[in-house]
Amino acid sequence: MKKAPETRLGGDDVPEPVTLLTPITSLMNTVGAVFVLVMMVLVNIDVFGRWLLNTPLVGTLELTEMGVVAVVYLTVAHAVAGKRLTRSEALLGYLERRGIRRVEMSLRIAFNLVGAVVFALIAFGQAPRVVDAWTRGYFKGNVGIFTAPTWPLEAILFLGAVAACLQFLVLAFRRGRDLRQGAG
Amino acid sequence: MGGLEIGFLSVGLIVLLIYSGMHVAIALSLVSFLSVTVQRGDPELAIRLLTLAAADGVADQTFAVIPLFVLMGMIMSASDVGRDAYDVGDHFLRRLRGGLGLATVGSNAVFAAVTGVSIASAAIFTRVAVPEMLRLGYSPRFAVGTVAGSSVLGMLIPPSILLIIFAILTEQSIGMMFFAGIGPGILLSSVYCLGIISMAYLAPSFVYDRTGRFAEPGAVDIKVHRGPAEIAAKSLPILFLITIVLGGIYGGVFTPTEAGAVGSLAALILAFARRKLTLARFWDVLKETGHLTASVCFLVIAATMYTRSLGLAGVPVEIGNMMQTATDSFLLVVLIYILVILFLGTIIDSVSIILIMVPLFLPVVQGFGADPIWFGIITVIAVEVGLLTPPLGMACFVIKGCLEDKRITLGDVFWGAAPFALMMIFVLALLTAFPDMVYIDRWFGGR
Repeated sequence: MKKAPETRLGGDDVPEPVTLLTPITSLMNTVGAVFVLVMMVLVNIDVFGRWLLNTPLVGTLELTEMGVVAVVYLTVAHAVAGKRLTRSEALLGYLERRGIRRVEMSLRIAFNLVGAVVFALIAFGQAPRVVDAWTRGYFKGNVGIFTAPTWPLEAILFLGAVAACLQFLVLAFRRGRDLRQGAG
Repeated sequence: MGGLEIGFLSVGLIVLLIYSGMHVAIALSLVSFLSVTVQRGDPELAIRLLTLAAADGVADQTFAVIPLFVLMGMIMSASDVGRDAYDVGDHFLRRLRGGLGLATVGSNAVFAAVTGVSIASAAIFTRVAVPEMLRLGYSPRFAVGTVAGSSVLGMLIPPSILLIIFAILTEQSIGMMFFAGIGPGILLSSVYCLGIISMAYLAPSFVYDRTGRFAEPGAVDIKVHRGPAEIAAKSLPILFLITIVLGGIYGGVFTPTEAGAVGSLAALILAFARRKLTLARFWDVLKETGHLTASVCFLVIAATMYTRSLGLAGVPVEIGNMMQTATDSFLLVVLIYILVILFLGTIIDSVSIILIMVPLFLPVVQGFGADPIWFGIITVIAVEVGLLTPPLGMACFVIKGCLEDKRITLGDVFWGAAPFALMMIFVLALLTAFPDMVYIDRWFGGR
């Protein structure tokens, strides 16, 4: 569920960092945040260039189109780690308040594992697309005006899915540990 | 198993999984994956469909409006613009009966014209308006209820993330969708204002706190003097931004995406110029924008997968046929739709409901020749009622989370919000009876 932006502002609230995975996820998240800024600047250059100088910025359309996808996959793993993916806490919260922690923890483990499976499927299906984009030199845009290779984007998609899958596994592992320690 | 059975089974399974607490996007992807696998007996095809949706679900320039408008709203929220709008409303309406309630509704409506997320408005106005109302002797239930009710305007008055998502999902023009949000936004605000004034006169015990537990003695008589210069300084920036964004879109200067980018830049310059935003805070805003974008867009991606799997099973067509043989009453269909949304809205969040329900019902209402834009507005209002109703009214949770006075309970917030939820349902009925009211340019008979 969405949280109040005021209380959750600041993207670094990942509980219990994990070696290697957390720094990589945070780095991707930072790059994603920079991409948001870059998109804003690019569109503005395009608008004002067209408006004042009658010269729009070539490739803005293609770059913003790819930018959105990049932002999503760069930040999704961090969102998973920070428990920011939309979900309903109604039942889980109820179980927690009633002290039925074993059921609650088992459900959480199951949901996190399913999350890992879904992202693993995406990564599995995405891998050949990265290879194709690289070896066949796929690009976006029009030849002679503006072209951008698609392999960096396909790679970001793959990496983002892998990172999100791993983050889900980490969450599942932690809930498993909590369960063994008597759901304390 | 026929297409319809698979379709119903998957919708039921999705709702069940979401209710039990699975991440919405994961539930959508998982069930769609299983449904395609069962239909075609080919898991590899299902993986290909999943990956395809993951890659092209949001790969369109229109999706750039999401991060850009979120960014603009976040900058505005972080730089005290909400407080300024409230101060202006407070200045003019303080003396009226229920005046601070009116000020909250009015400033929320204006603030809504620069942000697209209800939750942000709820958080800000809880901090700004509630203490002031309590100090002047308003009852806590009324104070939090007014904030909850008027925060809904954020999603109705453009720019709004829900309107954008509906437009993308149903391939309507975002500009048209935004335009259709203005009239109902003004209508809902007016109904709120009338409701507040009526309550202040007819049910004063709900509006004012007789016990004086929360009020500050003598606060009513203290005059807050604000000169014209201060009022201008507080209202001009927000008016300037509204002009750029909405004026730009309807003047044909910008596409919505460009308006989002230009609006963000203008908001940023204003915030830095007025020293309301530090670089560190701006960096947080950027990261928060990234997170919101990821969680919303990932929902859209999952819903793309879901819509395609439904389409593969032929569900939309079959539901359309079924509905049309079952009933020829359009009103009944709309009523069922609204009831289902209100029911789902008690637990699931707004974006998810739209993504789950609209693909099922849009073909049905279009079969009746209904206007998809009107349908979008109805959907958004119905979905937003869910923000105010227990057990999972998000707006109420956020308000409770931001309250400094711990004597006000979550129950108080829900009770206070109830009259506003009823007023929303009234507006819903009004718009269903007179669909033309969605378009503000047809209000006075013109078309």
